[in-house]
Amino acid sequence: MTALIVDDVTKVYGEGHTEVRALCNASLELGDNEFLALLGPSGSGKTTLLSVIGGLLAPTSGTVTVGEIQLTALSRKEQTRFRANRVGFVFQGFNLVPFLTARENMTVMAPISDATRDEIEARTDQLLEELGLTARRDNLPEQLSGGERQRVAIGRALVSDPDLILVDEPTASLDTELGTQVVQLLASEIKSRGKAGIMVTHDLRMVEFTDRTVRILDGELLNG
Amino acid sequence: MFIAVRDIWRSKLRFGLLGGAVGLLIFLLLFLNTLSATLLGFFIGAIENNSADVLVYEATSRRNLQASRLDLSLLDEVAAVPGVVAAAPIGELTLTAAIGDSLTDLSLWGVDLAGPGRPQPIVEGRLPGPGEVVVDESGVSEGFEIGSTITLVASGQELEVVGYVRDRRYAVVATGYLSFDEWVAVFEAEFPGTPVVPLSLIGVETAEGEDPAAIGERISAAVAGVEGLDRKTGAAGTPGVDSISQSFALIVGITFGIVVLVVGFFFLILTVQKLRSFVTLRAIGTDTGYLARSLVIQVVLVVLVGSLLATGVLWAATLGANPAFPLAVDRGLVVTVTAAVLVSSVLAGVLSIRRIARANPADAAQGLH
Repeated sequence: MTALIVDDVTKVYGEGHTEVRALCNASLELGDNEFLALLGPSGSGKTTLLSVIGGLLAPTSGTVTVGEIQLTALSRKEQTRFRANRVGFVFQGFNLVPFLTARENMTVMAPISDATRDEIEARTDQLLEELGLTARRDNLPEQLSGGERQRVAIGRALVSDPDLILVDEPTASLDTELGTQVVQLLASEIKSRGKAGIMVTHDLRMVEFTDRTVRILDGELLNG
Repeated sequence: MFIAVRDIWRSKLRFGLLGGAVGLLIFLLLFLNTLSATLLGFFIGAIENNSADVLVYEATSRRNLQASRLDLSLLDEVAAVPGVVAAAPIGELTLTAAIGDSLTDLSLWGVDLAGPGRPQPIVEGRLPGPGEVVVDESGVSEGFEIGSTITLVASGQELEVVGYVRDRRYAVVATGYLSFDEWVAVFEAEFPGTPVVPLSLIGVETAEGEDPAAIGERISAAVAGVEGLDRKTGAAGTPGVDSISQSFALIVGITFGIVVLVVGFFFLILTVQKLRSFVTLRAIGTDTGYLARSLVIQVVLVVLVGSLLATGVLWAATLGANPAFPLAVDRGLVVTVTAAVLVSSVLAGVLSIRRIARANPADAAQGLH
């Protein structure tokens, strides 16, 4: 079954002589249980595409469908709810909430997702264990290493049991060895749960952990 | 609640300092209000809490009872006005008295002990007989205790204190009440050869169900040269009351504004500092309403803690207050001030909520780019 359909999506910033075409007629399909690497240099439109797929940015034209939901037809409020329940984000800079512990950064999803608090707490404890963070559960982000922070961010992305996981440059703030471990772990978590995932990267070494690679250059998707 | 409480818990010093600052400012509000109420009570308590429903002044006295001079013959005219059940003379004289070894000012009121203007209720002791006086209980700290003897310096007359009344002080000096006949004798002894002893006021008891203000107007219209006022209007109209009230209102208003600005700006600064977190939370699906509620909860907690602190400090201040100028914690005032600060602070928090609402969740994905 198809988890994601990106159909002829264009994203234009600005207008007139300041106009920048970040995405040009991008089309993409992603199946369930498929982990895709989106490969491209800086400024190629990777993050913009990820943001459009995740409902953070509205495309200038084209449609995005996640499962049976056409994202571009949702209101802002519905998009917010969609992000809480159907998509898991792992941002490039970890983006953990600094005043919440590792565990709380994951259970923060409880009041906003459709899952019950008990379900979120049970999944959190399971993810903490799987991600090797049980001993660090009560530590604040500032007390965690880069790799641990990234693993907390992965846990937060998975805790609401979303259909689609979007990962932006997971190795950007990590050294090669740690980056490889984190991506390996991420791929394992996504595959073991049967989820669809897209990982934006410019690191060729990471594509071996994915099922497929799609290249992007100047906003245009190229063959993998 | 989840985010709000954890944020406070992990930033105890920051929120503690804000709570302390808000607490001290609320204390200042409570203290100024209490001070104002006590000062005004000492100034016009004898009028405001008088047992007469209506007080009749000389029309040209500008509601200043010390400038009001009425002829005794007006009593019958006032008593004849429809709606008046009883009218009684009230005289006031401020003189120097000796109590123990010290000299002090004493406001001495001559009243009909059974008529309007009588000192009631007697909170301790009994009504005065010949050569006796009851005093406002706040005078105890100045030596006006039951059993003590007051010597009126100019005439050498002596009066024994036999009871206390409450909240019946006048002109911020010790205040005593005795029968009108006794008061006339004091007046004549103080001012030998005075041809006529003038009344300061006429106290009026109105018929049940009658509006004292309306009866006051009726008296003003029916009797030449007088102005009848219900006691609240008479008290508020006393020269100086307006100035005191306005001065305190101005200071209280400015302090109130400062409290609201401090809370509003603090949370705005905090919001700007935590904007990255708010953007992340919005990006992962938190709606603005949830974040707004978290902020409101924080504002409410800070103001409530500040208010508790302020009440505690005020309570401590009342314990250390000069007995001659007692202060008390007024629960109604605490609740009113807290509610006003709370509502205004929440409104000030709207600035922060607007900032959160304007944050673009897409910025979370921009990461380190």
